[in-house]
Amino acid sequence: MEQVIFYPCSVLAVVSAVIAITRVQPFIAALWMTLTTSMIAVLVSLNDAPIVGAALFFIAASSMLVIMLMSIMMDDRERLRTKGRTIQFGKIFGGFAATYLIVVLALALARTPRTDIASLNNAKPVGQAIVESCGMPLTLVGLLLLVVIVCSVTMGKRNA
Amino acid sequence: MLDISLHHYLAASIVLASVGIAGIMVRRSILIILTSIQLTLMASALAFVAFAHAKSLPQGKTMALVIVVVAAAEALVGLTIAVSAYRTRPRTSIDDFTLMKG
Repeated sequence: MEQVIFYPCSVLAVVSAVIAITRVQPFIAALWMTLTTSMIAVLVSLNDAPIVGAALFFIAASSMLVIMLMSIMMDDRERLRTKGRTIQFGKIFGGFAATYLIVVLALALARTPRTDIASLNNAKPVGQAIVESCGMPLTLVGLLLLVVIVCSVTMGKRNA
Repeated sequence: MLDISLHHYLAASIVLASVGIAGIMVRRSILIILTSIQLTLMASALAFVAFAHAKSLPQGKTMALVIVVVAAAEALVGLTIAVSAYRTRPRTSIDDFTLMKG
């Protein structure tokens, strides 16, 4: 089962990443990068880290959506007029990807044994690691987020 | 079929990080550069989680969480700078922003 998920997801992640960085329009690039983020979240979850995968999916995918909104706001009209070369390819590829994801989801739901939910999550060891041995990085990240929020609000108000 | 080991995840991580670095170096759009930086950070998070799973160390998963948060902070700061620069000069190409002075 792991091979069935790993190989297509990794290939999908790499291909969508390549498509994302070769797109002319940032909006399309952010859409492809959202697919890449989702596939990386699946790969992370395969490594017995569903919490990290969920965090990566929600945080990184939401930041991609913010980039998409910014690209709509900051769109360069001249570049938007240029047509993408592989629009049809993108639609076909997206259709195959969606079909594959639905099939994998159905297989996973059909073959997952009924087990206790508490035995599946890994919140306890991650929480213990945060408290016991990774207190300094978490403190630094908290400070970083505080500085980022203050700087963003300050810059936004100054330029408004 | 081949069994999936640490090397497979590391190979995927290296390829994804290479694509992200190529995007940073090649592309000129500031938004695509931001997404490429995000891709590089996510690839490094994948490598951390793969090592943590292979070595049975939960610290790697914690560092992956830290990397995800740092990536979100990077996107926030980068977009704020991009919007600020866009107000003074309505272009999205990084070549147009040669000065930090507003």
